[in-house]
Amino acid sequence: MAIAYDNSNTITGGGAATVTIPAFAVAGANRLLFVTVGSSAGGGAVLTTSVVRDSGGLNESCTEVWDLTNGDTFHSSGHLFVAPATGSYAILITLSAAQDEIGACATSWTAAHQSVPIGTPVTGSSNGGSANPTLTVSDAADDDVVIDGVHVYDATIAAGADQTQRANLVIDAAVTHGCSTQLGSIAGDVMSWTGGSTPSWAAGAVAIKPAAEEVPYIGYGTPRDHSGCKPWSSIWRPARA
Amino acid sequence: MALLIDHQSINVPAGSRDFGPATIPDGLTKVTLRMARRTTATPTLWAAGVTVDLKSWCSLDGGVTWLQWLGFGAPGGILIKRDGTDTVESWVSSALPAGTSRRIKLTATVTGGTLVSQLTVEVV
Repeated sequence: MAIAYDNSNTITGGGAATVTIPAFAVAGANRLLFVTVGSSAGGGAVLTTSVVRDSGGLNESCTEVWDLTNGDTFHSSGHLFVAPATGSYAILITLSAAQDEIGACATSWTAAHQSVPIGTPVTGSSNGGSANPTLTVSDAADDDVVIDGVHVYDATIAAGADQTQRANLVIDAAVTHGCSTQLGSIAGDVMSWTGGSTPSWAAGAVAIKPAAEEVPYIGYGTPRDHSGCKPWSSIWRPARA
Repeated sequence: MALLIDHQSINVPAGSRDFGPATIPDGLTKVTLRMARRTTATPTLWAAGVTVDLKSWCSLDGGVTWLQWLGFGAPGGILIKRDGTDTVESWVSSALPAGTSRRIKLTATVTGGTLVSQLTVEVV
């Protein structure tokens, strides 16, 4: 079964060190939660300290996938939680200091691999250079879904042609947080955003891996996987004479 | 647009204080919470060392059940922006769930002293 988008929610904010993404329902089999965070500040960008779903309750603490700054004022991070509980819960994002602009997008997915959920993350940044955000996720397989998060010093950005935009959050008129996904079958596995007229940005991307296909047993003989089954001898014993 | 709370002056000692619930007008889709910060022009607001954690909850059934909604946490004192100006307010914004009979309520948890500020809840 292919990885499928389930649900999402977003947040923008400023002058804060923590923000809470409102609760949204998560459901389905082989669930995965992915959160992208971006921030920026005049005093310098900081890193993400923690991302926790249902803080104080379930305390589902997400694993950091990437977390970088552009060496100046822009920051991007990505976070993952495998098998989040079904139901609606908010997500608390904590940064290491207050930031001028904060944007975040949480997406939930089904049919994701539960033990090897992602490939190798790719990151990039620019500090006043000339290039728009562009990342190549070279280990993406055809059945994967590639997800990215960007935090850009520009109020008008657009995801690449083959990407599905999950968030395009204009914060404080001059800074945008974006999140998009793309099928791993798209040639090149390039995640890009255009429109950065002042291209200071930080970004990351990674491939989400699909759950293993269940191979149905067809035919005669011994099923391929009989782990967990009791041997016949432990179930049936001939009556004693 | 509707201002459910419009620059309400607040004076919250260390501890928690609830605001609302307030009814969200039908058809509006976005909510923003704002809290005025200390600046050089407003030196009596939100002192350094005072931290606030503002949480909100949204109800879709007139207040019977509540979902945790948007929020922010921030330290006090003057916060300088990239352009060199003071940050005027701490804020957070997100979409509202669709529906009727919607209500919203807030809780501000203050540590480190008394929070003196102005609170705004805006829905559009």
